[in-house]
Amino acid sequence: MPTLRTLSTELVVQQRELMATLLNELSPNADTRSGPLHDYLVKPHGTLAAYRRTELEEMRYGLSLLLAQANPDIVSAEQVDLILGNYLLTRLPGVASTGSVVIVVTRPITVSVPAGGTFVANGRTFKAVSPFIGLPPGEVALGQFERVMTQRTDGFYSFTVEVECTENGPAGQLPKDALLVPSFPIMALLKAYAASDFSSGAATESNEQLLSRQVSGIAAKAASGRFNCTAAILNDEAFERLLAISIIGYGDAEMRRDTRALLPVQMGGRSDWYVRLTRLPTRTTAVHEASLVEKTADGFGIWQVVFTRDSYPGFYDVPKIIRKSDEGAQGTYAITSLEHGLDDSYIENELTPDLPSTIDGTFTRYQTGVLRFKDTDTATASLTVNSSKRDYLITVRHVPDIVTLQTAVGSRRFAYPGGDILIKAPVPCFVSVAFKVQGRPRADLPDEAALKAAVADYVNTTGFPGRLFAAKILEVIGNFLGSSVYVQYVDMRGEILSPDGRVVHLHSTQVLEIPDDYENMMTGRTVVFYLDPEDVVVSGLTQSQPVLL
Amino acid sequence: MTPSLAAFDDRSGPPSQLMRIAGAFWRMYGGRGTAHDILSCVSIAEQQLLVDQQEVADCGNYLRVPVFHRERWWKLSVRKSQLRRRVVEYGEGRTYGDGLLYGVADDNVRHVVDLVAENKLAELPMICSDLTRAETIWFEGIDFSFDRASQELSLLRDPFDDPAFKRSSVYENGEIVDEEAYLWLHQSQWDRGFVRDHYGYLFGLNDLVSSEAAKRIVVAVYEAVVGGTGRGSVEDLIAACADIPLVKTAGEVVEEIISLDGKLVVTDKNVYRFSEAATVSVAVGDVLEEGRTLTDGLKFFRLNRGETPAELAAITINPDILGPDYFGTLAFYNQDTPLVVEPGVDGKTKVSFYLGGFPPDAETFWKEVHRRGVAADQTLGELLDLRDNPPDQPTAASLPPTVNPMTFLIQNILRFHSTAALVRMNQLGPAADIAQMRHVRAILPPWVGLLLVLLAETSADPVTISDLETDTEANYASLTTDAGYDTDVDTTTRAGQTTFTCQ
Repeated sequence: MPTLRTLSTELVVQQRELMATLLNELSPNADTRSGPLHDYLVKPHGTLAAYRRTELEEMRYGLSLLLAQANPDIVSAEQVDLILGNYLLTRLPGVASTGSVVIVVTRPITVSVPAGGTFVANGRTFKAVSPFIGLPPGEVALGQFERVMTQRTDGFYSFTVEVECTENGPAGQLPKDALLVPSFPIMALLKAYAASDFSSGAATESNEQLLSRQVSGIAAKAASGRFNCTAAILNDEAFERLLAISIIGYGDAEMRRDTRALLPVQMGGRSDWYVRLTRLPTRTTAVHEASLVEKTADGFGIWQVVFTRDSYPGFYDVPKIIRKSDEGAQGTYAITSLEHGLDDSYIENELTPDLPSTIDGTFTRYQTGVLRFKDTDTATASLTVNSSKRDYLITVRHVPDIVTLQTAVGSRRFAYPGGDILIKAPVPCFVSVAFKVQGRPRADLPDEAALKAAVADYVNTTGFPGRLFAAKILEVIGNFLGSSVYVQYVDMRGEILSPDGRVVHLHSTQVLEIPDDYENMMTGRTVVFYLDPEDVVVSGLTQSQPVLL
Repeated sequence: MTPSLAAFDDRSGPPSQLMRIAGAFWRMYGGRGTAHDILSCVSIAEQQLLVDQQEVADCGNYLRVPVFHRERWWKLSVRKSQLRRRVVEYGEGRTYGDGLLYGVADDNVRHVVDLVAENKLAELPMICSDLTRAETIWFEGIDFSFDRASQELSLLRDPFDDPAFKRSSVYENGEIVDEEAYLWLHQSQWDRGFVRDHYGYLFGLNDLVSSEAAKRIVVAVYEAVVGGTGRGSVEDLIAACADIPLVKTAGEVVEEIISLDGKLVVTDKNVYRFSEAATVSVAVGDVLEEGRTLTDGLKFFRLNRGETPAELAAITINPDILGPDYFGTLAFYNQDTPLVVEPGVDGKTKVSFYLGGFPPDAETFWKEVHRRGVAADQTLGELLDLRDNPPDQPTAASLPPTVNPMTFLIQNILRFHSTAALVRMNQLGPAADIAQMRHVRAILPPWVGLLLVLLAETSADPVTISDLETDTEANYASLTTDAGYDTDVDTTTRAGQTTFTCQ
């Protein structure tokens, strides 16, 4: 509600002038400059008219989410929720990150984790979702909370417990192997670490986020225009937290799938949807049996693993390969090749898209792969090529949700007759950001974990921007800095995994810009920036300032 | 009862009613005239609140959302020192030979006021010297003009010369330094971005300049999004961007066609205004269907039957459609073109025909067509072979001698997923905003395309070249591309058709 003090002076003057002029014209002898008519009519009426007009104007702000967002002091959150009602939307609540923690103990003894027992990692607190009891190998678990330990290859024992972050939001998403420190005693504890990437939590939906999906509330949920296609996806609970979508179609230079007929011209009828459902791709580690395919002169060999289209849908890369017997070891064997393939065989009850070329299936659920790497620890003198096999722990970055999404858009309920929609994981640009903060002696340097999380969160929610500006990252960092702490520089590096298998390197202290490569369907409309908080490097120091007095 | 402005204008309206409510004393009171005047003043001032209230209510409905905010009365104070003469500037669209010189003041427009306000004034029909007596009323187009873009008010007469305008002296340090006149702007329309801020932003229409045409753009997109995209939504959007009206309701009957400051088509329900250059395509007595076009300024073509629109001279397709190996566009002309036959290229007969554009691009195109044909063991030449069950590679004798490239393109590619619209650029309406056509991409299903043809007409100037001893006619054509619209097949113009003929 406006107050008399905050009214626009121009409006108040206009209203008073109007009243005074009217009065003068109707009663030319009336004194409107001073006296009772001025004090009791012109002045209060003009002011109150201005007040009421301002009040009406502010009511108008409450009809538009855009105006509501621009005037947060005027339009309350309750009013915003009322606007949302008109668009058939409700604000999405916050969700906490959850995941499994591996508890490693040195001896096979019974240990317990109390319900709500907390762990700390990356500046966040995680609590056990229930009581857990770890039992030595050989014992029998009697309930869902009892876990029998397994002996590890390093001779220790481990069991897993489930935890969730005590705060909603994506900052609680721990990467695989992140160490957690329990704030209660666990007997014979060696370490506790994340078994796999934690699920991405989400903060309560902000007005800005609501603004971006407002149109989806009223849009027909159908395979029609681009707004409608997006609305149809968001209408499915499984995808309501979709972060970004870029729909490529007829006439877009990135559409190559429909140009592979006799005439080298786009034919239409095809659509590629680049969809980002999570902040980061999923990292999954699993045991794979590899075949020896080549012996090398140094006595070792090249090993091969084949990924089917269901192994790691839309996989990007393979960051880590170690022997199964070396579980827990750092480092990775070098990849000699990772060839993308295609399996577009028919899937029951789904409309399988037309994929005339292998590159058309890259980063889709139809992608297959042949991974070859060199194991520099296993001697191959006594082994046989194409016959000998070994188990390896392989970590893959992939986008599993594209399977369910491809199934959804290819379903009888969604697909348009004769339609052809291909869901693609975005072309990834893996970013690392480094910056140095510098402050005066005794200045409070910012919380590193929170700072990393904020920078990563910004980058991971930029959608399909085409460019990543250091200036925007500086803005994010600036929110964490006190008055006597400054940023010295921001260094950004990016690695784009091109669908043709190349890696395109970007480096800048100002802006990372996605180059256009239409043949490989790589442009600002298909590439997203991924930034793992682990890849944010912050260094800080305090430094004396010149003494002036 | 819902209050209305009519009630305020009624002689028995609020002032008299309020007097009755006030009680019998005020009817006998000696100063009852003053009391009545006061109530009249309050009533008139209240009218603006009704306007504001109605606008707020209308903002809640996408069809009723007001384009502008209306101020019944707005006082504009003009200082004598602020009145300036109008100086003609280059690039403001003057006509050569109209007697004005760039950089030199226009003697006909001596009194220019620059408006400075938080909200932009959009329309101003009247300027009054007072609120109730109508001593001096200036009308837009007669007594003054208003330029919305520059927020410049050009007065034919000096308000300081008209005693009807109230004025006062401006003092500084006790001395008169200037004089101020008061102009009452009546029924002025202000751009508060209602359409953009309440509905346009939903669809990314954040750069809309408020106008009725802009509102039609928003309505077209809104209805396409809410109800799903139909042909009508796409046509409405293009028509709104071009500010060329379509028939509003079914069954309208044309009653009159008038040439008056443009072309007017008058039906029994609506009046449609078009550019002077428009050729009206309906006649008096015609019964019209909803959404049809009325002139040659805007046309829609359905290509699904493979028919070639005679109005199009060529269709050009750009590298987005062709692929990254091309330098520029390729033009498929709407005229019979000889089929070029080359036997024995990679073991098969290669065929091609002339395509406009960068010659190496055309060469790349035909090489690729043949390469793909050879790879697939079915070349274009084999497909065009006129013989039944041909035993060998075709020769010129068994192939059509000519091909219409545009027909070829439509029948083999565009007919399946494309439609086309033709806009003659010289017939755009005053509020046309061609850049907004990029939003067709948002409402069009991504698997279909729209061929948008923005046609720039040629003009001919006779020129005499020395030593030639003849008149020579030069035809000029300008290429007009839709820079912001990158979804669909392409734009095409008569550029490239430019001829230079000697008479």
